[in-house]
Amino acid sequence: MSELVAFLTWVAANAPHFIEDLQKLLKGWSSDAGVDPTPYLRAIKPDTHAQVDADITAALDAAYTARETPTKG
Amino acid sequence: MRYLIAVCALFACTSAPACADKGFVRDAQYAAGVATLTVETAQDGAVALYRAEQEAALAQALKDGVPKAEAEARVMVVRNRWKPVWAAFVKVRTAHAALVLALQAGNEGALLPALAALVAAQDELGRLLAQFRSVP
Repeated sequence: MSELVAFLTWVAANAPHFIEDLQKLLKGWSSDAGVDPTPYLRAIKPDTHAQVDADITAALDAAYTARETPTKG
Repeated sequence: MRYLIAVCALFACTSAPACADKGFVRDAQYAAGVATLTVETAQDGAVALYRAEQEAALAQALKDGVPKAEAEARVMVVRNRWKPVWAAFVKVRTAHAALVLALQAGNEGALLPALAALVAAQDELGRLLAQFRSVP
């Protein structure tokens, strides 16, 4: 359970809107009124870390190509 | 913080067999919904941090004037450190998909094991993420 608290705390620290969204969802759960959970019953979107790797690799290549290319004049 | 505690209580309750009454399906729906919201937010934060760490490694390499191979190695250190995190996210998404599938199929017998698997996967992810600082 402490790991779950740590996880949620980490999420909250990294996304200020998270608590507000979560509050809306939990209101529906606790009061029978408000937000329907159905829209959230879908697959979690995949993470995009592979795109980050591609971007950084491209940036690295570009930076070193620029260094190695002699400037004219 | 009280909402975090509420979520923890929800997960604790839905992980216990005593909670397997007619309200259990509804609780499971909200647990799945909270996980969708939480994990997607966590992924966004983790990806932003992952990018920032790689950018910092590259910037430092350029500042130090090291050869390209050394710069690549420094970036690779960041990527290798994060590999377990991305694997943990896959486990969480897989567990969550099983729970959503059970809910959509009306398979109440599969809900409890699916919830337990999801909580275990989130615990593992939480342990890993705790090692990383917050997004700057």
